[in-house]
Amino acid sequence: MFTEGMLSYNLILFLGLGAEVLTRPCGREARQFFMVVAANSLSIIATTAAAVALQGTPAALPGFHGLFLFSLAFSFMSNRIVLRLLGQDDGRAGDSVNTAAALFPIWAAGQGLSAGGVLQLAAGGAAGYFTVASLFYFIRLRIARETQNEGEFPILCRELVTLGIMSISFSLFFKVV
Amino acid sequence: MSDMWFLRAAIIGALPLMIAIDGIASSVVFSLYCAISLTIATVFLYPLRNVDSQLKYLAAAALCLPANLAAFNYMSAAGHYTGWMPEFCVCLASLPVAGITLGRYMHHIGRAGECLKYYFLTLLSTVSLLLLTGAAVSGTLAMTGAFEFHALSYPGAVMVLAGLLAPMMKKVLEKLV
Repeated sequence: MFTEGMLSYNLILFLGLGAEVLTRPCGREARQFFMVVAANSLSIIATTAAAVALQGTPAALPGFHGLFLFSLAFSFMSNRIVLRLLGQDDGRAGDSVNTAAALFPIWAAGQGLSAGGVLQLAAGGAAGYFTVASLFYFIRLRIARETQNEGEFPILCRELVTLGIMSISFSLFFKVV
Repeated sequence: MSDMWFLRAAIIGALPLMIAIDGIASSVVFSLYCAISLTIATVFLYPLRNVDSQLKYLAAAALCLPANLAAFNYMSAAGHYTGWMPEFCVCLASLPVAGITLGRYMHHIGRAGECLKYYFLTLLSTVSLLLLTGAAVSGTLAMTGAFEFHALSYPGAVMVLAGLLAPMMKKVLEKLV
């Protein structure tokens, strides 16, 4: 379960990080960052569970497009609710733009698994997302310390190259292992 | 506003699309989808720029889906089927690019002429990035063929490419701002 989530590392890396998580300058408090990431991780599981629960009911979603719209709306709403409950809702919509939770149910539906298998996959994906985002935070922090006199844009370019190289390294590692 | 925020938004939004591009032809198709999505989202969000509701971003993304689907069906009927779920990925790209970023900044920018200028800059940045990626993939076809078999490595390589292309694009776009 966890391995499958980690093997989807690149999918999560590209799709899972909320827009605000990726774009906000790295001076953000660690607690706030990890609360947002935890909320996004929970929404992956919650959205997938809700999509699974709806299948086979009279409210079954019409095809992938219905599933996509439902997942997008449900993940956004669940993020907002969890952030409000945690007291971390600062009104920024970007924290709740969780593209992994929007696409994960579609990808999971295409795996041909049972409901239990899909939920296991979602749990693995959520764990993988949290791990990737945590790594991302510390990398960004390191880069910010090393490039204190440079603007935000050069820092973003360095982050992209660093994460890309890290992504390739992880992929080769899992391929070899 | 942070430095070159529209280029930053274009890079973040285009990342999911860049990994789905497999050559110059698919990059042209994806650019078309992107142009449709960004235009719809911007036109929808401009009159709502002073409305303080996060649901408007979801509504903008949902509005993009029918247009993308129509474009996708048309291109498929013409034999140009390409990419992985472009109708979804482009919606997810347009949400942070046009919605959260441009939609939010339009509130600060105010005047229609300035908003139009930044819309074109955002569109130009996104389309240029996609076309450059397509050209790079076509130009290194033998290498990317190897990457495709190691599908997990491919997104990392694309991310490194984005990090290297971004400073060059910044130099060109600074002359237009």
